[in-house]
Amino acid sequence: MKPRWLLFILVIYFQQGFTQTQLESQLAFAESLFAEEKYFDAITEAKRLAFFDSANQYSFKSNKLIGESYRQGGKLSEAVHYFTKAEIISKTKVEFFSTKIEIIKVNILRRAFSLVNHQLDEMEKDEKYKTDSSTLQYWRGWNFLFHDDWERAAEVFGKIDSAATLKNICEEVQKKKYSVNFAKGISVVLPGAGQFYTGNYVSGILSLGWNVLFGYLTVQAFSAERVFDGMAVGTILWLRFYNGNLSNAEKFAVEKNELIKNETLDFLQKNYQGLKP
Amino acid sequence: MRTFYFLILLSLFPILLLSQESELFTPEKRKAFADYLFCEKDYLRASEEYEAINSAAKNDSLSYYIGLCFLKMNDYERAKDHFFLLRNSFLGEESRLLFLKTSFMLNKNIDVKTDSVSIQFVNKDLETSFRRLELAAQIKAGMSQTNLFSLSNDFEESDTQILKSFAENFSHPQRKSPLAAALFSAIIPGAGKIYTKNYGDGITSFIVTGLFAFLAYDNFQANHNTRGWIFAGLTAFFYSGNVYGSYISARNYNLEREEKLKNEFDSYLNSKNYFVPKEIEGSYK
Repeated sequence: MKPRWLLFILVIYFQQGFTQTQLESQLAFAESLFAEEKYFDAITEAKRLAFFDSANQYSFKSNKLIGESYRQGGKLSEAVHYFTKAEIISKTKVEFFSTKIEIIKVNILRRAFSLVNHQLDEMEKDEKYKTDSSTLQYWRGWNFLFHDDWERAAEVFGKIDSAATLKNICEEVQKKKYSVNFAKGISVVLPGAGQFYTGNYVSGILSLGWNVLFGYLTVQAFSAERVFDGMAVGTILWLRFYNGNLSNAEKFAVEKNELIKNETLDFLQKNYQGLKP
Repeated sequence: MRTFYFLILLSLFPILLLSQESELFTPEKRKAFADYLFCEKDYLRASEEYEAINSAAKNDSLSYYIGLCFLKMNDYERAKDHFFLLRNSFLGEESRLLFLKTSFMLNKNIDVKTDSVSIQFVNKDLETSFRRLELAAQIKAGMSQTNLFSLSNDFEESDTQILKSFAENFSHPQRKSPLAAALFSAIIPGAGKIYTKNYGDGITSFIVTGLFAFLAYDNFQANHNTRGWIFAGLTAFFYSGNVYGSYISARNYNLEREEKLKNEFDSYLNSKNYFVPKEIEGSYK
C-alpha cells in the first residue's frame, strides 16, 4: 500500500476514534448527572447518547442508565421499558442477569407480586442461574416484604447468611402486627374491645357506650311489650352501632398494620445499607 | 496528488469543527435529536431541545414544534400562546387552526381573539377545518340548530346528524326544576328525589320519614311523650332535610346532565381530532 493512502486511513481511523471519545464523554456526562441526582437531565443525555451511538457501542449502558434514572424519578413503567431494552441488547451473561434483576427490583417496587414470583421461578428453573440462587432468594424475600408477608420474608431471608438483619426486622414486624380477626372477634363479644386492643381508647369507650345505651332501650321496649318500638330501635340504632363497632375494630387493626408496614419500609429505605429495590 | 490532499483536508475538517464545539450539541444534531424525542413522544425533552436551538436563533418552525409539544402534553395555555404568536408566520394557517383548537380545549370563549385569526385561508382544507371548529364552538355555546345549519355546509352527512342532536341538547337542555322537586317532596316525602331520578334516595326518604312519623304517633298514643317528641323531632329533621335534599338533587341533576353532555361532545370532537388534520400536528414525523 502506498504511504499516502496509509496516511489517509490513519486520518479516518483517528476521526473514528474522536467520535468514540465524544460518545464516551457523553456517557460520562450522563453518569455524572445521575450521580448528582439530576435524573431528568441524566435521562436526556443518556437518550442523546443512545440516539447518536449508531454503532450501538454504548446502547446497553445508555438504556440501563435511562432505566435507573426513571426508577429514581419514580417512573417505574418507563424504567421497566428501558431495562427491557437493555436486556435485549445485552451481550454477556452478567449484563443479561443484572438487567433481569433490575426489572425484578422495579416490579417489586410496582407491587407486582405475582409477576415477580413468576419471573424468579423462571430464573430458578434455568440451569444458567444455578450459582445465583441466593441472589434470587434475596429478591424473593424483598418481594414478600413488599407484599406485607413478613413471615415468609423472614423465612426466605433466614436461608441467606448475609440477610440476617432483614430476617430480624421481618420477625420484629410480624410480632408487632395486630391480628385483624382477633380485633373483630373480641368486638363481637364486647363492643369496643377491638378498638381498645388497637389502642383507640376513646373510640372504644364511645362504641361501648352507644351499644349499652341502645341495647338497654331495645331490651326495655321488648320487656314493655312495645315490639315495634323495640324492633325499630334495635335495627335502626343498636344494630347500626354494633356493626359500626365491628367495622371500626377491623379498620383500626388494618390501619395500624399499614402504619407499621410503612414505617418499616421507610426505615429500610433510609437506614438499610444492603441491596434494596 | 492534489485529490489526495483535498481528501485529507476534508477528513480533518470535521475534527477541527469538533474541537471547537461538542459534536452532539450542534444545532443540526440537536434538531435531529429533538425530532427523535418528538417521535418517541417524549414531548417535554423535545420541547427543551427545540427551545435551546430556538433561543440561539429564532425560527418559526421550531416555535411551531414547541407549541405542538405543549399541545401534546395538554399544556393548552402555553400551546395557545405559541400558536397565537405564529398567526402571521409562514405556518400561520396551521397555527391559527391550532390556536382555535387549544382555545376550544381550554373551554375559553373562543370569540376573544378569533377575529384576529379568522382571516382568509389559502389552504381550503384548513379553512374548512377552521369553520367546522368555529361551528362546534357555537353549538357548545347553545346556538339553536336552525341558526347553525344555515351558516355552514362544511360537515359530512353523518356528522351533521350527530351535531344536530348535540345542538338541540345544548340549546334546549332537559332540566328538572329544583322548586318543583322541593314541592313534590313537601307533599310526599321522597317524591322530589324520584322526580330527579334518584330512586333509591326517594324510597329511603319515604320509608325513614314515614317510620319516624309512625314511631312518634305510636309513642304519643302510648303516653310516652318524651320519646314521642324525640321521634317527632327526628321526623321533622328528616322531612325538612328531604325537602332541601330534593331541591339540591334537582340542581345536581341539571349540572350532571350539562357536564355529561359537554363530556360527550368533547369525546365526539376528540374522536374527530377537533376537525384538525393530523398531518399538521406532526403525526407524519
